Amino acid sequence: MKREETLKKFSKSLIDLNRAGVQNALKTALKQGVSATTLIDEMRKASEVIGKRWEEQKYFISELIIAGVLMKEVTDELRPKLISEGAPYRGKVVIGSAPGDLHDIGKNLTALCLMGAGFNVIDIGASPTTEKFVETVRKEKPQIVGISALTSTTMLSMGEVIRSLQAVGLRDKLKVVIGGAPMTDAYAKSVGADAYATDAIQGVKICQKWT
Amino acid sequence: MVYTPRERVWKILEHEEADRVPADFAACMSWPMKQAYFKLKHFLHLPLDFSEIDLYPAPASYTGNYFPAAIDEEIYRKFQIDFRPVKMGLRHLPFVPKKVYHDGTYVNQYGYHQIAGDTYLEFARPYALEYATTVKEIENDRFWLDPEEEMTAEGTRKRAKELEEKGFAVTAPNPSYGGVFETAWFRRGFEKFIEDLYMRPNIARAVLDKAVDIHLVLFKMFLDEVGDIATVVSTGDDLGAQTAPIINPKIYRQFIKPAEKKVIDLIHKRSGAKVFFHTCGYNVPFMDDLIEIGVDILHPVQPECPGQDLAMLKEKWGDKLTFCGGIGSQHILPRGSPAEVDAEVKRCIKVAAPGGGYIAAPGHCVQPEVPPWNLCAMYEAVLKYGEYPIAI
Repeated sequence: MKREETLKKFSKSLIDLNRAGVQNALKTALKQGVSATTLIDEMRKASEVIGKRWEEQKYFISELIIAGVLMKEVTDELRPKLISEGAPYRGKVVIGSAPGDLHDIGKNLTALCLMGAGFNVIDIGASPTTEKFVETVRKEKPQIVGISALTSTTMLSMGEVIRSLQAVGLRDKLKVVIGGAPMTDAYAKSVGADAYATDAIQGVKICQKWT
Repeated sequence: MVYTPRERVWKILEHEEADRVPADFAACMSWPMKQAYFKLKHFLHLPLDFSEIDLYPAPASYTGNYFPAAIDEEIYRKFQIDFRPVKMGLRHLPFVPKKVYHDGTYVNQYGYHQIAGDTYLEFARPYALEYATTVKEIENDRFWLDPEEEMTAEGTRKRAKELEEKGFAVTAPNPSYGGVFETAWFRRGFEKFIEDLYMRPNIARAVLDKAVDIHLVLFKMFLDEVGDIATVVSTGDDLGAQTAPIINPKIYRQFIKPAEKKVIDLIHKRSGAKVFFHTCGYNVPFMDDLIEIGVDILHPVQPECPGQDLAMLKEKWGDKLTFCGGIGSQHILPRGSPAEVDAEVKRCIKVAAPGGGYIAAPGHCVQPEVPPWNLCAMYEAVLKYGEYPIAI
């Protein structure tokens, strides 16, 4: 099989959520000497097609999860090579559930989709403290911070995170995107976020626009 | 003609008009979170009762054994709620977790690895069966609920009879913690179970089969006592997220729907009650499926989700489903003014109540920050606008 064919198979298997196909194509591609950067690039393109299928309601949350799992496996496999190749990430995102919110299904899904789209994702988990957000941002210097909340009560603590970033002078150096079930555009503006995403795929698109 | 609450509810469930629109508050579902409930009691000058104070040392709105605390009868009366719940309980009290970990997480009686959050009891990682790799490991896990040993329906018949004699519509809330899909992922982990459905169908089936078995025994125990008295028996499975289904409807039809059908068939077989099904979020793609497996009442009809406007739902499925809920608990109830709540109730009644088939209730659990005056405004509005024939 030629390199182009292998890459095509790799991309098609990702889009069709065929795990064995992805693994086989990945192995073959690496044997053929395809660089990790090329493979990651191919994965980004595949993730765009998956996002399109989501928008067309051909794919649902369950498919996004499977796609995310497959892409995470690929990324994990390629990480050492990526580091040696010095391949740049698309950008760095610090993501977490809102302080006080222990729900993390939506946040995890978004983190996976961002990873698939080539971002370096620092996930600080469910219900981190505001301090944890600030500390991580200070240390990692991301371009983007993502906060997710499921309930109308915990969404209120998103504002606290943003105000704290402002207070320590980090807010202006990055973009903030918020997401979660009860979010609205008006709410995003009122807490000082730059944008809000109705779902994971839209969240990825917003982050791509910014980087 | 004046109806008793039960007569009123039956009329509405048969898609006929009664004297007024019935209302639910925490009898079928639509529970208030503890913080909202205590604010409401304070606002209404009602004293706290010991039985209402959770034994679990956290702000989570459930007792350690999951069941929400009972609602003060005074509140039911003030809001003129037509339903009264009769609940199954733990056989051995007080509740002792099956396992406690040093980080404060524990395994509850259903075998879920949990932690008490500020609002709900949440799931802690790893999920109890997350690392199981064989069907045998799943089947032989020692933390599965043993319904007959651990749960009891004792006393429910007597209580149901008393409520029936008083004329209330008796509800039998889901004795399990979630539906079959939920039980499966609560034990196995959300992402892991979704992966199972696509990549390890034998594991997915093993977890689901176990969940179904437990449900069947629980409902049999419960309905042997109250099946002939209950007006409503509730079950459910969250199938929707805010804007999309959680699970591909095709996969749902292949795995989950047949499992849910088994449980609903048993409820219909062992009771004369209507089946109340709770499913959060956006559920439009599942409507026909739910009707097909025997669901009679859909809850909570979250109006904030796209395409879930009551008027549209009523037009499309109103002859087959009764809608319970629809009064927004994401925006209107927590952040609206009493006048906005009033207007929303009016709108819901106007579009959904004519011809029966609508029960007024919050469009989900009542969140901690919902002000008590909004709840009062909501139930006052139900009485104000809910009189048949609807003339608003």
